[in-house]
Amino acid sequence: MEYCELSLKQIIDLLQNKQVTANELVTYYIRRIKNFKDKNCVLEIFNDALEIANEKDEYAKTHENLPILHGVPILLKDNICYENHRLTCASKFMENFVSPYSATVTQKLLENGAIIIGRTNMDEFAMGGSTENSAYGVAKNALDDTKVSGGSSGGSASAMALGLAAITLGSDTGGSIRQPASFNGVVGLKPTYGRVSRYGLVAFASSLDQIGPIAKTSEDAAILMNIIAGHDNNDQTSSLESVPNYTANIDKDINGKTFGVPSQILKLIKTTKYEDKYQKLFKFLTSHGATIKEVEIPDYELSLPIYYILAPAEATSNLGRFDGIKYTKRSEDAYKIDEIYNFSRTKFFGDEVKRRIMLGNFVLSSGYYDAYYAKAKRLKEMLKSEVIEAFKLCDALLLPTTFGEAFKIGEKSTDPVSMYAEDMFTIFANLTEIPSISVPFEKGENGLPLGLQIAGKHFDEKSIIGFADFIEKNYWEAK
Amino acid sequence: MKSEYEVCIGLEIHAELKTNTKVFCSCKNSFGDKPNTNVCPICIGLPGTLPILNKQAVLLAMRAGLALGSTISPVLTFDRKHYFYPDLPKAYQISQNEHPICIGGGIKLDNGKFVRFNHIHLEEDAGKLVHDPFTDETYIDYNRGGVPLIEHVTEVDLSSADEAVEFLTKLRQTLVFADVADCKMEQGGMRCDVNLSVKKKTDSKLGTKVEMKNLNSFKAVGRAIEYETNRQIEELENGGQIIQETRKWDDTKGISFAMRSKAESKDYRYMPEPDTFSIEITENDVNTVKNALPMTPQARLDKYTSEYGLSDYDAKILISEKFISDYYEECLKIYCEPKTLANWIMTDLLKILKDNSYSTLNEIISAQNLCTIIKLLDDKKISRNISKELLNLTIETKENPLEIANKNKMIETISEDKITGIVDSVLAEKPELYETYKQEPDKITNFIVGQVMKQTQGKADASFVKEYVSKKMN
Amino acid sequence: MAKITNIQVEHLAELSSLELTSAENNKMKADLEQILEFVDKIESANINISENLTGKIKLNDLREDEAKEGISQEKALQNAPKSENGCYVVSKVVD
Repeated sequence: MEYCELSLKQIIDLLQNKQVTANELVTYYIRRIKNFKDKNCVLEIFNDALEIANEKDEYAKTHENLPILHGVPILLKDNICYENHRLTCASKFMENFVSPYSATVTQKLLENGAIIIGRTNMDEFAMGGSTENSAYGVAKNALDDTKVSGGSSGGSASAMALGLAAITLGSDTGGSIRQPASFNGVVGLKPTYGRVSRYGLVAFASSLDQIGPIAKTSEDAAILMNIIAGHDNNDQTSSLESVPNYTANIDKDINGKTFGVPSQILKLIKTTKYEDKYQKLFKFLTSHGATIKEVEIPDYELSLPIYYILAPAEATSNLGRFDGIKYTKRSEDAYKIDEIYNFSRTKFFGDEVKRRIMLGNFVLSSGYYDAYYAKAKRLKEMLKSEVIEAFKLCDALLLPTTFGEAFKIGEKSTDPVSMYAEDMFTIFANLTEIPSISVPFEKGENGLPLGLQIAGKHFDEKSIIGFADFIEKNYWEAK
Repeated sequence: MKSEYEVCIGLEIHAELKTNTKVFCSCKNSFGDKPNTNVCPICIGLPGTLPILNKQAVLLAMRAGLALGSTISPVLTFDRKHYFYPDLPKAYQISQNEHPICIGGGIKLDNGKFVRFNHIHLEEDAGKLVHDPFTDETYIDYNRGGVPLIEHVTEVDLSSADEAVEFLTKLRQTLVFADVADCKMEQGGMRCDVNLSVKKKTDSKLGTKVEMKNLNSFKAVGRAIEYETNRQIEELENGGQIIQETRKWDDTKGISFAMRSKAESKDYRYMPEPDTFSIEITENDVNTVKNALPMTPQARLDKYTSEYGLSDYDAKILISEKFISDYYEECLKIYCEPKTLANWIMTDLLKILKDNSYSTLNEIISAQNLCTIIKLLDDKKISRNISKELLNLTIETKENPLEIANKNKMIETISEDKITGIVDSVLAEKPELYETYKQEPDKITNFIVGQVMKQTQGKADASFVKEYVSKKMN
Repeated sequence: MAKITNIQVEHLAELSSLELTSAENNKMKADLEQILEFVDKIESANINISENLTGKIKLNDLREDEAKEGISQEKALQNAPKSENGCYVVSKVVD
């Protein structure tokens, strides 16, 4: 088997048993990234990766006990800081930025021996669902060059599907890990809000963002979660909830478990082309001892409007710091201070980012704040309490990740609202702060993958990883 | 006519809290360092950074509120205030809009008026802009960015420049005595903006208010208020209208002029800060701070006048600065003579302080050394003139005054010859003492000692006298 | 609520420190109107939970007031488009 086909778990085994060197792996992945240059999923291969790999190998020669991720090559989404390395958030504005510090998750990976080999393509500042909003070109779907990779973590997802690293990290604000994972046939996990530190993640919507793994398998996602989850003093929104062993439910069955499907989701499934596929899956689950139950989330349909008020508002606030003064590019025509701000931001922000900045300011401006932002915040709380109610009746929720397979490049980019509607299934988990994992379960009419979303109770990543693992091993792999 | 009008003034006063670190990061809170050397990813607004609230900033804000009679909010929340300006790295200031930490409170003026606070809130300071007069450029230093500020917003209760200056003086004094802020205006430790409007005394509605900025001293505040009051009255008397605007005060020229900022840019789009959760402040928390409040200036004033018997005037001088009051109390612990100490401090030390570049009294002379000198004088071991000379020498050399006095033979001792001489002359005058001594030796000895003391202004060595008397009698 | 005027769009651009050409202004207006139409669904939504105003973090659990090393002046300025004498540089700011 080639390394690109191996899971993180298998790569770790090889490294721990010294059956492969870090140098060999990093060389392999770098060559492969270069071979798949046209896919445009990786924006930069870090030129110190090989050197670090050699240092790891030296270390392994004289040490018996190696940290768990020793020598493991990892790709980070281009919005997660890595000290002394470039970070652009796929924006022209940040073209020359070298980060003076590392994100907490980056530090954790490094402390555990990982090698960060590069940064992956994304929608600019994480705004988008296709990676078409990248200032550095779209990332193509791993399986079909004419289709999008999804977004905003499109680069990480297609890189994972192509086997360009042992595992990748993405970020998810409204589905940005799960949707591209679904489009590329890999596993993507958005943790509970507050489970993973946001320190060092370039903020999009502060009350919704989370970093999570995009991996080949559910077990891989669990291995990574064991390392990156936990409270961080640098993030006051991170949770003090204890970190369990996320691999504890791997290889467990689903006998006696109850899965809830919100009634609105059942209606929405009918609007996709794949109702029969979902029904088939539900039958499969019941045949293995699970119960499928319809549950009520009365205000589910408000998810999109709430999201498209809160997210742009927080985004516009978070993007104010990109100003042509401190660490971004500055427009050469700018002379007066007003021009430095205006010319630089106008020239170097992409259209989608500008649109959301303007929308965000609309929502926050006096006269509209109470009707929009304040109300949306309260509705978010209401939605959260509704999901907590629903979880009294089931162990996890099942829903599609996307309406269908990856769409064509260019198909949706001119119509913002139709693009936003794509988020219908994923936004809910961000708003209610619950963890949610997308696992490939079927192929669509074009042979491209479809993901199933399993959403869990707050801080119950362990269970949903277990369920995803079950489907992966007993349903998806059986195809 | 000017007398038909009254002026209505509200103040917004910012004070930098004296914490070790900034309000949302662990950078040093310090003035005067090289630019951009007290910074970190958080306070320069690097992408991906998050604010981490400083407990001490909250405690000091609570202390300020309690010292000023405010109620403390049971929940602490923050809001983002958005605007673009180069000294604001995140393009928003983390401040408080919905739930300020302190509500109400106020300060009583000497004329009996109680000037109320609407609220006091906690927020972060912006960086500093330095304009280069030769090039067309501005330099930005973020050292000050993130320093904790409390902003006091008063109601429109003030009616004159004098009242405003008195209010500011008392506010500063309260904050300094509560050990909350140093309020050094020349370092930007305290800043004041004035909101002023005029109206005819017969009108019930307030006039259009004008905001005044760039008031860098209490005197400037007074002058600006006088100027602006006259300007507005004149404008109205001439049939004009007051425009709601922000005006910058030029203290050298003694005028204010309209600033160029646009009215629309004042939409701050306040949004609750999503990067911190709300903080719970319990009654217990409030009581802990309350119980640890340092004595207020008023309380000290009362103590000095009622307990120590100082005059109101003298007591006020002693509490005019916290370091003077603290020094006075330190001395009292060593040598409890309140009136004497008060005199020495006011007459001698404060003059030296004023004439030189000292910033505290301890720099002039330690409390211990001062007390040593005063005690020597009180014990009549040195004369008043010598004591002043000793003070100067001690200040100069910083040596122990007792040693200095001995070295320079300043301490008056009465020679043994002189003592024996006095005893002999007493006995010569009253030979019957030889007889009465036989019956009451102690009484007669004490009498003779008393006589010697009388003639030596108490400086004689009593035990030597007794010894000699005993020798003479036997 | 779903109608936006050109002046409003200009005002928003100002708040955002963005400059739009008139064509861009029109497109933005149309886009925003479209988005606001679907976002207006919350207008009729009923809120049926009470506002939760209790503090989530205890005062005593906040950060201690101990100074820590930040980043060097050099690192702080390393990405600045223009810097001099240890400061970020912009053209003169007139009040």
